[in-house]
Amino acid sequence: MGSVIIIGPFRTYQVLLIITTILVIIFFYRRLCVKKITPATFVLWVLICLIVNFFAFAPRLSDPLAGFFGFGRGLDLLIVVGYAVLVYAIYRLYVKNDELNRNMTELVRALAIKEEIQSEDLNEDE
Amino acid sequence: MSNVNSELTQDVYLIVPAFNEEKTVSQIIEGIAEKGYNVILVNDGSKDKTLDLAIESKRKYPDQIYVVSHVINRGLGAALKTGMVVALNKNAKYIVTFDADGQHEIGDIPKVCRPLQDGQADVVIGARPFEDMPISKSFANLIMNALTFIFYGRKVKDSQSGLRAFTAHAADVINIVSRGYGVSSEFIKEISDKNLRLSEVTITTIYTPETQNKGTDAIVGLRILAKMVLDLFRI
Repeated sequence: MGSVIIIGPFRTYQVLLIITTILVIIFFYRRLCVKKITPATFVLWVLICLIVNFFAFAPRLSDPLAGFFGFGRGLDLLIVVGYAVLVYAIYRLYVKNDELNRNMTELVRALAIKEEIQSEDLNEDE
Repeated sequence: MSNVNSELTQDVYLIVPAFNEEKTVSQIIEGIAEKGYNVILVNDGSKDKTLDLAIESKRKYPDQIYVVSHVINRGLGAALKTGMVVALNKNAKYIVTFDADGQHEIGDIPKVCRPLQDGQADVVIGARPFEDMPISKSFANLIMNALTFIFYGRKVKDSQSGLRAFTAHAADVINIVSRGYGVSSEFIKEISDKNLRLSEVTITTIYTPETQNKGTDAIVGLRILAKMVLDLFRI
């Protein structure tokens, strides 16, 4: 417990990050090839990967930036920013879900009004 | 079986939202029609015989009972809005919302309509006396009144009452988007935002095991609170 595992010149989390980054880039490249995402989205994801890797491999270089925001380490800043992004993403999902629900309700309402039970329909059933 | 509408009842449309209310729906809507009022039963995707029973009731009162049905359950707020749209399409002058679980007294309908018919109010809320409620319900409703005041700035005796009456104008300008029980507080918000004249009258509430299982309890209250908070951040 407490000892840091080092693989060659890298620490374990750095190796895992390299593998994850490669997989993420392959995933988005394949989506780009089948035109599921735009080239701009692909570039954005690659940039995000590079920034995360920069923080992971050169934590000391990011310390001045972290210090500017009042954090001791670059990694701390990254974690806080990550939380903020996640909270925003959850809120956007909530709004989107709410919008879909409203649209569905409008559809159900329109159908209900169009298909109102008519007295003539009752006579036909009898 | 038919009943002649009087001047006081012919322009009044009762909206009865119903979700799995087979035990009470016939008795409620036929009881209302018996008094000469028009009824719009909104079946909200019930899985039981609510819709079939409502259609049976319509056979008895074809000119007073109207039945519309959501193909899937969309919640109390959505059902009330559907009923209001249908009532306005039928040129209703006064619109009353009335729960299908049997907790309201049909005899209270004239009470909530009178301030509208006298031109004294645009909206009337039938306030249930909290002292008659079980303690858990009265506590939850007190909290909801406080939250409604904090979030929407309007102090009312019973923000969660299901018995409300609206003029056609008020029903037309009120814009309801809540699907669930949050609709009750949203009505208060809309009344404030649209500067509508509000009146409150005391009504009778009938408590049975069925009616006690529904409505505002602690969980529903928390959900409504979460919705109120999230709506503050809506873009």
